[in-house]
Amino acid sequence: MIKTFTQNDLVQYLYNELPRRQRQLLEDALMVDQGLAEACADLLIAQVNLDDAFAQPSQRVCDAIISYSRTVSLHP
Amino acid sequence: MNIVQLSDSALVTSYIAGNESAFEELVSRHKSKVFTTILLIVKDTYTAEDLLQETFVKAIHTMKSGRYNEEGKFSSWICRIAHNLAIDYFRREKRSPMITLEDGSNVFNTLSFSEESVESIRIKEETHARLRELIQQLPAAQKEVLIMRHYADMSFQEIAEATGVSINTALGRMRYALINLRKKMSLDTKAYDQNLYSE
Repeated sequence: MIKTFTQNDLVQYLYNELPRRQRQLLEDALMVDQGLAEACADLLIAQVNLDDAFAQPSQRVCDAIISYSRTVSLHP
Repeated sequence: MNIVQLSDSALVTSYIAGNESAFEELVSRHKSKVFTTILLIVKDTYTAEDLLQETFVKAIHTMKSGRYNEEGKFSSWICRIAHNLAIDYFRREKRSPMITLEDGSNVFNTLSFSEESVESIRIKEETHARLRELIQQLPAAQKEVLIMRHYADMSFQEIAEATGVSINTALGRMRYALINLRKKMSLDTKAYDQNLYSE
């Protein structure tokens, strides 16, 4: 029997937070449930696009952080 | 073993033992994630860079003084520091600063500079900035969960605890955030195409 999955399960699946067994069952369900597969695809597209929003700090700031670390000497 | 192959946890141990190269690798791995988490909250590149420094300074002090508590992932830990500092800043300011456009220095600091034309980098940067603007338009609760999960790398359980809601509510907010963002992106593309063809 195919287990019924919720939209929230899909979100957990996309972020690798679904337990292994449930993950397997959901992947089985995706093969036969077109509605679920479409919903998953929609969420996946948005999720993948989010990676485009990653921004980079300037090298100057990263260098400042690294050189600050070299000057700090704290003892536990 | 080459330093780039080490896990975050091994890098932290090595850094605490005095290996500064391990810290450089940690900065290199997590700077973008931490910076984006802050930028999406404070919406200003220069403030975000200041807070990025503050975040890593706190992390340096915690690790070098032996107070680092290895319970969760390093990335979640440092992003949580960043998130808290950005929220504190935002509350202190009690205003919503204007979104500043990316300055040229970010573009010229991209590693792939030599492989891509200046024009393609500019277009890519504009697209990325537009996406960050669309994220800003999401309802506050959805935006908060989205930043915490996607950029700050916190689990839904951690988000639920940090925001005082159930895990199902956190998941639901994330789902609506993704759906709304997809709609906004779709409308944005249509509007762009219409502008393009009407000229």
